[in-house]
Amino acid sequence: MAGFYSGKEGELLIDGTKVAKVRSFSFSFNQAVLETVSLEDTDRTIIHGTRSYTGSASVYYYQETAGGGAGQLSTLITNIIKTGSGAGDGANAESTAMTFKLRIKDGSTAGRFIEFQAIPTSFGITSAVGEVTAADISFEVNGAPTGLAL
Amino acid sequence: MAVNRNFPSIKPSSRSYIPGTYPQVEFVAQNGAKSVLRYGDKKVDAKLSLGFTNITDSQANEILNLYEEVNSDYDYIFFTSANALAGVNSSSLVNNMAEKDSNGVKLRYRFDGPPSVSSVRPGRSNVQCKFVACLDGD
Repeated sequence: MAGFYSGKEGELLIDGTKVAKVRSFSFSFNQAVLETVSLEDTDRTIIHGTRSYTGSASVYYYQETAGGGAGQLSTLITNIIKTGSGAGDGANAESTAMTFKLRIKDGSTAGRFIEFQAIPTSFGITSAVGEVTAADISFEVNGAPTGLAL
Repeated sequence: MAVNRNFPSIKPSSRSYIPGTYPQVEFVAQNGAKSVLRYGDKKVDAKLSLGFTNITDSQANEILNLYEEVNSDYDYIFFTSANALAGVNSSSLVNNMAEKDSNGVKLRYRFDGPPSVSSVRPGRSNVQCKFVACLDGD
């Protein structure tokens, strides 16, 4: 499929399963640099430091059937928020890291994608009069991406 | 006999130098009058600190090897504008910082404690060195 791509072709998969109603996603790459300037130099010299990747997504809270949960959004919520046995219970299960796949459908089977394991670092869900209930998620990638075909 | 060893050809990222002081003792009377007994006419114990940022591990190892070589035989270190004094344009300032004059070396630099090596990332290290210039009795 030659041409430009828009949000219509975007997909977000969490742990291999497509998230039903995604409003947007974004992904960014950062390269830290280490300075190697020594006395007598006139220009800043640098070498590669560590790479890091962060991203975010905005997902509508969408249920197929009443009481059925919001699919992968619900999976994400239960992976990051762990319940305790009662008030004041401070020792509970760790949050679970998840695999994210950001894909652009281009007509091929696999599409164009980047896949990585990430730890959600913030999550917020908003329900307001006159607005569709949606969740905002930010995440940081653990290690290097495990799949890349962009 | 102590011999002169050149510092490796590594340019520092930071450097500070403090000229030495004259060996003397001061006596201050109750009225504030000061008497000074000076024991020598040469300044001693000049200090030179060098910082090396993000140098390669092999360069860090050259500095550690120098530390070993200088201390095993009580040799001393010679600094020039091609290594630790890089960036000093005035030759007279180089001579002052290297503690030498037309007659040769005035004071002999030695490590003022072991160098500290911090690993930054694979293959790269930060190294901090301190030197003190001594007046040898030989």
